Amino acid sequence: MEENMELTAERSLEIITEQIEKSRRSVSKDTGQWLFVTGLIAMIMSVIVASANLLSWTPLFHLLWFALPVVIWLVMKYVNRNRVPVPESLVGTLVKKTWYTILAFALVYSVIATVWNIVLQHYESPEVFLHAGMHITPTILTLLAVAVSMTGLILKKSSLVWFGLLSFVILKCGLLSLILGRLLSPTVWAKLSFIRPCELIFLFALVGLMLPGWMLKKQK
Amino acid sequence: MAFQPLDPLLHAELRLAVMSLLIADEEAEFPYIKEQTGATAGNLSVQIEKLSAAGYIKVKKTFKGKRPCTICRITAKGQKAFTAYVEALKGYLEVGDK
Repeated sequence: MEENMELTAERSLEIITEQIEKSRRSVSKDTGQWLFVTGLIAMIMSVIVASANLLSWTPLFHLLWFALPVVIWLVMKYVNRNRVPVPESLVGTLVKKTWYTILAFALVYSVIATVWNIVLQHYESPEVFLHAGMHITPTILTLLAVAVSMTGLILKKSSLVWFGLLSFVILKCGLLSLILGRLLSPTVWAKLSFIRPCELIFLFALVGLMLPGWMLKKQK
Repeated sequence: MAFQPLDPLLHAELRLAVMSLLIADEEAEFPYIKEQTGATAGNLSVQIEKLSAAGYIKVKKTFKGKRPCTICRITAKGQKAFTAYVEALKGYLEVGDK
């Protein structure tokens, strides 16, 4: 771009629009990178956790989920090591605040639900626990699906809004459970209930995070 | 109809691009502005210097680890000037549409 005093009003407007659009696009790409990496790691992690739980036949390895944020942070740091950082902008800040709010709700809910479930398991019968126990994974994933759709609305990416909705629908249908439930005998499938959160997370990570992230990343 | 004069400092492609970018992002590092505007480092430095001398942007030179890092931030004066420029521009565009 050269210094040009012969700039027309139309060209000036074009430059302003172009730069503001570029700023929005760089936030989109940055968000896409983040969603893609998070989705990919969550998918790998769900396979690892499910395998470890199956091999040891205990649900103990679900504790590995607590390491997920640290792994994501480390990988993102490595991936972004040579990238020019995207500056803070109104759009970027809105996306960040949406995710922080949803993640805060998810964290508080998971702590309350874990304590509630432990207390219920110790003091009540299995029947009561079955009905009154709080479902952590589906609730957290629903919150995350909402965050994906809200991000799409902020970034004006309708595909992201639809991916958020689609992941929610898939989550509610329990697609993989349906397939595995038909392939395996009911007794075996019932015994495998302790790995079901992994299946839900795997599906959500694929449809709600990795695919839309890849689409945002690849945009020109 | 009398046209409002366009601020000569903003009525230049690269300076306008830098200001538009900073209006959206408030604060940005030099390599990011260079990447987004597609300008050469030399030309960009000159234009940033002009905007800074006019008080439209604030330039902060700092370090990121061991590497020097230049951060540009739009000032209140810069925001006001940009708004006035866009307002003046509207007048030209409205006449063009008629």
